[in-house]
Amino acid sequence: MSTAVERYLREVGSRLPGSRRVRADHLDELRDGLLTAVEQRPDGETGYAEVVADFGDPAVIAAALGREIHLREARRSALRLLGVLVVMAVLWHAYRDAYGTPSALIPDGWSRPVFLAGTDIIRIAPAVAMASAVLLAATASLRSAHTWVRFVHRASGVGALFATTLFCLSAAAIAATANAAHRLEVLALALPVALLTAFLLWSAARAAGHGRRAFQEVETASRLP
Amino acid sequence: MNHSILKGHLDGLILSVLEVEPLHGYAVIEALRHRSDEALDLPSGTIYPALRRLERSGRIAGEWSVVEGRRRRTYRLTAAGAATLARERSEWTAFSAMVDRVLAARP
Repeated sequence: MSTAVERYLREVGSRLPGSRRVRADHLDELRDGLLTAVEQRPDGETGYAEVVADFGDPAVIAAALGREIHLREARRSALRLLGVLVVMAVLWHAYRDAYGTPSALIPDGWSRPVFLAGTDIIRIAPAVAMASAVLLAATASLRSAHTWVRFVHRASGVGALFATTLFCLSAAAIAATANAAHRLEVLALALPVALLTAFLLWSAARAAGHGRRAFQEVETASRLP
Repeated sequence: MNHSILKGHLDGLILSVLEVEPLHGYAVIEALRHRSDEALDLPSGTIYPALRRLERSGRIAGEWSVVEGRRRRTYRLTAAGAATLARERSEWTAFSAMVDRVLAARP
């Protein structure tokens, strides 16, 4: 392979975000184009300056590709978040249908208002997280990088993370303040919920992080048509 | 040609060359150059983020293959892409006719 092509790919690759597989996919595609261009030259050789002149500034190309990678990852994480929330809702309804509302868990004394506040929040937070995830996935699917798209995209990422964090805190508060006489039942509920909420939090953090970084280099990437 | 004039139109141009047949990235830029009689001379690297953007929004679909030992991604137009192309064509026709009328009017 041409040394100039290798150098160009290194310059782009060192700036690309995402996993090794994602970066390799983008670089493979770029490599195919670069080598096709070199093969079409009469001498089949090229210098680095010529590669840059033909393909463009590697920093600009990497910024534009990076935005695409971040948007895809943000959408994937948002859809994963949405999927887990739907699964949790289905499991909760199935549990309630089978065993009824676990009202025996409601404690007495000082912990009662904390427990009840937790149950109030835990009803609302998933709906907010779901709405944020839908918005995030939708804006990550748009071609436009208009100011309002960037704003909604970032805001929905933050919203998803905020709502998921609230959900986790409420679940923890409910588990901590539940009626001590029903510890076993609390544990049986808390373990799967803890696993799912950890996954939720991870997905929300990824969605928000990619959503934020997608437009960080908007000025560099916008140098392309 | 000033590349900034292309802002907002590159997607439509790419969709139009993919309407004919599925193409890989470098073939897309060559088709654009050929169709424009070499007037459209964008840096070749420009095409790759644009292709990924169109794919992300569902206008085109990419598929990997191996050609002469190299991985190659080829793109084809989707139904959503065909609808976008039809809309962009009609908008461009109306817009260019309007600009023609305005510019043609001399004192």
